Amino acid sequence: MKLMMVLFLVAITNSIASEAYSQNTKLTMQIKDATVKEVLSQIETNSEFFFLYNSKLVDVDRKVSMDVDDEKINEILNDLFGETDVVYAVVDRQIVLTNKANQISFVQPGSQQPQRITGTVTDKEGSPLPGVNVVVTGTTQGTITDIAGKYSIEVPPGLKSLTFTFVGMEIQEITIGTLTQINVTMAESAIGLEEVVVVGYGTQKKVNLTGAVSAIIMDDVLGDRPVTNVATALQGVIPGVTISGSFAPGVEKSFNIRGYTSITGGSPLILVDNVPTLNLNMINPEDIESVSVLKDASSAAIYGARAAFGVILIKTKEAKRNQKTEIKYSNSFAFEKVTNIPKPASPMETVLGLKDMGYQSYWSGQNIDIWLDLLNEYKTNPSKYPLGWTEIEGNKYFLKQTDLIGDMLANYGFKQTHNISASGGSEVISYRLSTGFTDEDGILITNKDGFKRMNVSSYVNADISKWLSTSLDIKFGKNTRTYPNSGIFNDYWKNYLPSYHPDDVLPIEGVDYPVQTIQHAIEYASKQSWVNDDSRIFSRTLLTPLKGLEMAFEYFYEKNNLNQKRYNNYFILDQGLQDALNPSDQNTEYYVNKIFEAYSTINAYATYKTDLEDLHHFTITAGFNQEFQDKDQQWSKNYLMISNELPSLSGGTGIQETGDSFDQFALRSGFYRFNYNYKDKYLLESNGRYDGSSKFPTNTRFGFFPSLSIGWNIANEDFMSSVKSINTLKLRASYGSLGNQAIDNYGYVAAMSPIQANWIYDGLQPIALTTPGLVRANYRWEVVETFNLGLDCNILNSRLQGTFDIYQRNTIGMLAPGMELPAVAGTSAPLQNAADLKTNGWELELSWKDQIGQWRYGIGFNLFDSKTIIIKYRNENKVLDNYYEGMEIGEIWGYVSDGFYTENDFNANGTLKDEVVSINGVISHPGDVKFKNLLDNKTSVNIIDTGEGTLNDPGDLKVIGNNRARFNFGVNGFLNWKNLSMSYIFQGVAKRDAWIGGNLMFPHAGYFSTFYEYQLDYWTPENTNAYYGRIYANAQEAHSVNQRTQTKYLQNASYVRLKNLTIGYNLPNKLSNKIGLTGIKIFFSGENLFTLSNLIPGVDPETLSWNYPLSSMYSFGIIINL
Amino acid sequence: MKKLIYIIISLIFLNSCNDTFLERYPLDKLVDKTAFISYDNFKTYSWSLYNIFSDNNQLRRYSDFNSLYEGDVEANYLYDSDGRNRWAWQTVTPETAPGGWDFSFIRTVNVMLDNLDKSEMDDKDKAHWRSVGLFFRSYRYFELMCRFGNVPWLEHLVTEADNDQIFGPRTPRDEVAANILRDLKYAEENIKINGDGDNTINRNVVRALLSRYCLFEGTWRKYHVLSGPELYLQECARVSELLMDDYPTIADNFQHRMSTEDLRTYPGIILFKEYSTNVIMQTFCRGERGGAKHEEMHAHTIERYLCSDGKPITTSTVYDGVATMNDEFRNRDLRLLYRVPPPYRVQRTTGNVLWEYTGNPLDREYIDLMNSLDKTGLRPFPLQTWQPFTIDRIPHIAGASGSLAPMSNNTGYYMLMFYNIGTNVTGGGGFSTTDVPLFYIEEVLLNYAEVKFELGQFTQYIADRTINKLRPRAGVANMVVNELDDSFDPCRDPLVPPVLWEIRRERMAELMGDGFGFDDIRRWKRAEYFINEQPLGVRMDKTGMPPALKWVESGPDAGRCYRVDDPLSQGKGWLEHYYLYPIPQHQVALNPELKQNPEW
Repeated sequence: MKLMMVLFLVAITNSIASEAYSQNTKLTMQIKDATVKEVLSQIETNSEFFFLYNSKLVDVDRKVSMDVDDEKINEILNDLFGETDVVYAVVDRQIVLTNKANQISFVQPGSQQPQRITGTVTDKEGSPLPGVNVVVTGTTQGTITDIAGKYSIEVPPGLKSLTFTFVGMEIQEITIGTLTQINVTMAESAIGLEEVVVVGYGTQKKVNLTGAVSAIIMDDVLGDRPVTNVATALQGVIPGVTISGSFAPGVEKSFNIRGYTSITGGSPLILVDNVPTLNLNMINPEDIESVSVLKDASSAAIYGARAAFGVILIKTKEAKRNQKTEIKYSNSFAFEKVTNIPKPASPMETVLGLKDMGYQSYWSGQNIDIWLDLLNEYKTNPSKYPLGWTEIEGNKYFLKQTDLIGDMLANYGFKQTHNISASGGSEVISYRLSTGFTDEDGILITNKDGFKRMNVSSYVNADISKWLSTSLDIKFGKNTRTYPNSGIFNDYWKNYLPSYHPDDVLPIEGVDYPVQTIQHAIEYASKQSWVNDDSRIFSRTLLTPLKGLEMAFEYFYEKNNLNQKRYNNYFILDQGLQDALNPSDQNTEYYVNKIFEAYSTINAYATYKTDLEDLHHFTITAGFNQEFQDKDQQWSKNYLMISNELPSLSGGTGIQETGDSFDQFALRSGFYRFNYNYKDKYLLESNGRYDGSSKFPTNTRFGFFPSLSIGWNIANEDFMSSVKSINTLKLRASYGSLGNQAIDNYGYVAAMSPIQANWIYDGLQPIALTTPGLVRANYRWEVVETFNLGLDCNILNSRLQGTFDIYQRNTIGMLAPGMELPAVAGTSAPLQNAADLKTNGWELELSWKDQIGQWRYGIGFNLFDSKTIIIKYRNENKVLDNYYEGMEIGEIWGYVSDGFYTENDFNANGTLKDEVVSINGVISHPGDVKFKNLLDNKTSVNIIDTGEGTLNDPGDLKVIGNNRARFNFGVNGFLNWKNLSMSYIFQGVAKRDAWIGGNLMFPHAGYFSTFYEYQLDYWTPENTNAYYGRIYANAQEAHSVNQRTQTKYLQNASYVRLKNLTIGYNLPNKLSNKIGLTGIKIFFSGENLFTLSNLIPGVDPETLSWNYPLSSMYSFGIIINL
Repeated sequence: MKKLIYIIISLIFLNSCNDTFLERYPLDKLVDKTAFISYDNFKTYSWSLYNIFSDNNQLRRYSDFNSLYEGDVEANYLYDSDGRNRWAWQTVTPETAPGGWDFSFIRTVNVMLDNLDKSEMDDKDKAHWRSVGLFFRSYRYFELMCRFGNVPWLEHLVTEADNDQIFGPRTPRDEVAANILRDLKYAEENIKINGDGDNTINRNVVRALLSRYCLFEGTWRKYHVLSGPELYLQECARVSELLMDDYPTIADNFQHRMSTEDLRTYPGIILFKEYSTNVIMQTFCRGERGGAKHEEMHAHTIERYLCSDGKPITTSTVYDGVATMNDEFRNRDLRLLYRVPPPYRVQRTTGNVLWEYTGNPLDREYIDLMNSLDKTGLRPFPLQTWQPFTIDRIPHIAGASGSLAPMSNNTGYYMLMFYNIGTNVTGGGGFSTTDVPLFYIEEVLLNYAEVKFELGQFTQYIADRTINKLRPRAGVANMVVNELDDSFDPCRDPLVPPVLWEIRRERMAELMGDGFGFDDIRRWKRAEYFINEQPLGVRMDKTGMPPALKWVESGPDAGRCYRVDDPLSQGKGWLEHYYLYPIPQHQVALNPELKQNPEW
């Protein structure tokens, strides 16, 4: 607040001072028969005034004589131009002359009106440049030039210059003064100022990339979204990248690039400033400058063994030299609400369903007919049973409809974030400091599901000498994730509770106890917490000893400490449906888990650039990398706490348990990159890495992973020089082979772990050892080859940009069990390099941006797809419940539904007629689901079975669908008008099959289950044309057979989701300036506002289950620039 | 310039040689070179072998309360009234194979056996640990052979290179059986007589397994007409006699074998599974006192129990007939009353706990009897559920008016084995600590009686040393061998000689619920006699009974209720090829050399 006051005063003083000069300065002069030009020149010589005019508009050759004594400038000018059509304006010391015809566009000095500036932007040949960014310097207000290179912009008073930027051109900053028309000629930038993207150990001009690289600027993507983790911010914006995982606050998400990776698993390497990160959740997205995704082998090869499935490079924000201090504060306040909730059927519908299943009395003791009578009575006269239940002959009959799922969810979750950053730079030093805070209380009732994070970051970069500079980046983060823990009541995502389940209290021996609902479990739960504190120190020293040579030495150390605490506090709930009391945990277990993880990295590398005759450009990068991860875990437990409120290890009276584990891995590598570029037309690049990893046995530890890529920028060919509208048209091709080491750290050691035996000796469980598995001492790297073809185009000066990539990725020698060993082996087969798969896919990215009048808009679209086939696997007999050659990943095997059995299918004694298809080992009845008989063999004629369970004899099963998400897409766009801006992101999947099954899919699916609203159309003798088959009491008979995976109940899991919609408003600068700020923006943002999905209620198309649900989030906030 | 770069790069690469920086081994795990050196090393490893007693691949196991009586449910001595016997109803297929085709435990043992010779122990200690290993391997192979017949024999640890074993054919039963006998006899001779202390594998445990195994294999060979049953039968007789000498007394309370906190003090216990608070606890007591257990005995099994005069119901003079459940249970083998709670009725007063007697003396007849039989007070009648609520009647039919959900059942003959209110049953299930017996002298006595008959040596002397030691505590008169002729039980299975029938009857009564049933009826090759029986419930007043109950209209069982139909009337029933389990279809697909068992 103090700071703002000072700035405000300075502004006022300034404005007084500027008035003062023209008001207070008095001139004396005597001139005879001089030209106006000479008079003006005299005034300039004798005062601080200076004149601006166009000699075509102002006749300065006119002869005049003047004799003034101690007069103000206005009086002198009135004398000088009194009789003519010349008009003038005085702005501080600057005086602008023009004629009356042009006076309309003349801005009166000192007026508080915004000033409209127009103009045309051209290149050095004079051709108009569309798409140039024109911004009022120091603000976020701006526009872009139209197709004729013209622009028009309103400049708030007090702001003095415009900044013109365009890809590949030098930035221009033009002082406005009194001008109303500013025409600018943009000069091509000499070096470096073109759009560059971060690549491994360096940067590269986008136009010269030959690999498949997507890059985004975080501020563009994050915008004003109330998103506090990197993964959520990136979802749907980068083609080929999918992000999945839990929606619970603070739970880490997982990334995937370009589809299925390997049967042993595999995920992209995520690097923050050149080094892997232990905990991506620790990074505040506000601190991120850009994200590059290296998708093909050629761009990722410099990271060798860990980059097989792509690399995500995150670059954090730094600061530039010669930059005035910028201070930015932003916040957002978000409200979260769950909208997709499963709804059980009403008590009446449920009990009628039980009757239809054949229950006369339910497992919890109630007589169904009595229950139905009571429900009817309750419907007409609820006041008769004010408790919502009644007791007859020792059995409770529950009548009231409750909403257990609704009760466990808060009306609104709440999340707030605050970020403040300051950056600036002088000639030799620059810095950036930032602090961020986020606090989320999730969508469960109480504040027990939450996430809190504090980030502090400081970056300093200094030139020590002309050839040596160094930077230090220290980041600290502390986050706390919490979740309710209630011992045996911990399953909060139960989906089998009926709508008559009581929700209040029930008496046991005259005492009322809270009922075992999810709501009560959460309310009485203790708060389980995971506290991470993470420190990252990154030091970087740059040497430039010779022209063109840059050497970097980087040292990085990260320490992440996890402190997890979980306590099963003691409380008692009434079981509800049965008269019984359940304690949360009689032994009140208290558990503490501490994990200390350290990661250290040394990078040393050098880049040398040289040119030959301005035609041949070479860049060579080579370096060394060493990494070491050390993980040390200790856990302890104690029981029977003496205090339920203050649990501690020493405060328990049980038998203490403790344990530990260690995990280490080391990597040492050399890498290189070689670039050759001929006249920006022909491009060639090779990347490679020589890796040694501790995850492999000594003799197979090292691997060399090279790659090659070429590019041809057709737009730079001479024959294309007449086609002005195409700026870039580049064909790319690449090939590379990488290693995958995403396996257990000690996979080649036949280790035996200590375990507790299931036996008591001397009063305790003795320690035993696990059985060692089979290992192969010679296993080595999986190799992942990628072929990639790509096309980049940039048309109409970046207004239309497009990228298309098509690729094949072969994962060869996967470290799989290699095969399934028969059970006789007594263990699974050792890991060996025995399986191959291939993935084919493509990605398309298109964007368009333009301006029509005051309207600026843009739209981006991305679409990608991939498909994976196993091409080698040791499964000679092609047994179906394992991988086999030719298998498409994700295939769903099932039966073909063929209606229901009818009365006509059965003999009088209840057995099936001979000609009717039967199901092996199943006794069928009318209303049971019938399957199509696809294959007979000698022991199975007209019988549904699984044959030999092999591809050649799959019995009556076939592939009925595929659960991989196909045709992922994202659409994002913006629309700006004056100070208003709007942006949106849609994301979705166009094709996916899913087998949901279970309670949410089928009516009363199991022994303990219930009905949902949409599950009431099941078969009964009266309803033979139903959707669902027959259902049986106690889930007996063919109950579960009717739920077998089959065509009829396969779900379509495609969806479209509006991930974000943001509306922002920049306050007019005159308002913000009045309080001394450079800019203020307010915004409203909505996350996940709607989803189009065909799935049953409660099932999210991303997770395909009812679990911690996705919420819609409504937020607002403010951004302040000082 | 280029020189400089060259120097830098070569410096960097020189540094990255294959040194100890990249050598990382687990810091918290052992490998076989370090795990098998000393006596204590082997002792440590051997504890993992004890897991076999609760392994889900064993039919007789103590893992959860649903698994307890499984062998007797498979045999249709007991039944799950919500389901159907899968053999009787022919729902077993190679796709849904009952399983057990699992050799991971054999591997676990062979790791230990193959490391013995490399250890630093002396020959005697090596022989001891070899014996322990062979005992466990035999225990597992016994089950494998019992289910599948021919099974691959794995004498040593299988490595990846042993394709002839991994993908080989099965070893003939003759060879497997002989190997098991060989191994157990080695163990008997070489194991330390007292094992490794309290409740560990020792010579008597080995002998107890030999007794069980040799009876099984000897009788299987005899009734399935395979060569050489005598060798096994004689071996069984030999070890059983040795054990009978070592354990001359048996406990005077039959029930306490299943409801004692510490079985160390119970006479005749050879090995038991110990449970202890917050160390290892069990769910069995809670299961029986809750609402999720559905096993019941059925009427024809109950009819096979003797009366107190030592005669079957058909010829007994003290049998009171079948008119009511009270009559049915009067003057019967007490072991029936311990397993199936006899009828009673009380009046609950307020709530679910408080009760008082009705005026009718018949309603409290068995309450008084049961409470007088139990001196501990830990098995009170009327029954208490886990909450605890008072069960006001037996039979306690689920869904009958006024019934409670826990401890209710469908047709009236509820199965109880671990009922005990002295052990903890609250807190979510697994908190009980009564021990369970694994090997005990009562079984050995019955093995001995049976094997002596099979050897043609069963006499009154043998009966007195075996069956007649068990009967006094069951309230049944002694067996008099020369009374046992065709007229002793006109209802017996006519294919079984009268004396043998009585020996088998005694075995059923003594071991009911301990899961021997299915293996017994298969080795006797009389499975269809038991499996094809329709499970029937009690005769009782139909008023207030749930409509789901069906009632036998005519014939000797008229008036009994039932839930499950007669499998024979539906064209189902035991099939000859069921004596061997099917090999899981998936395993045959992986290795066609295994060849499916006949007819599957």
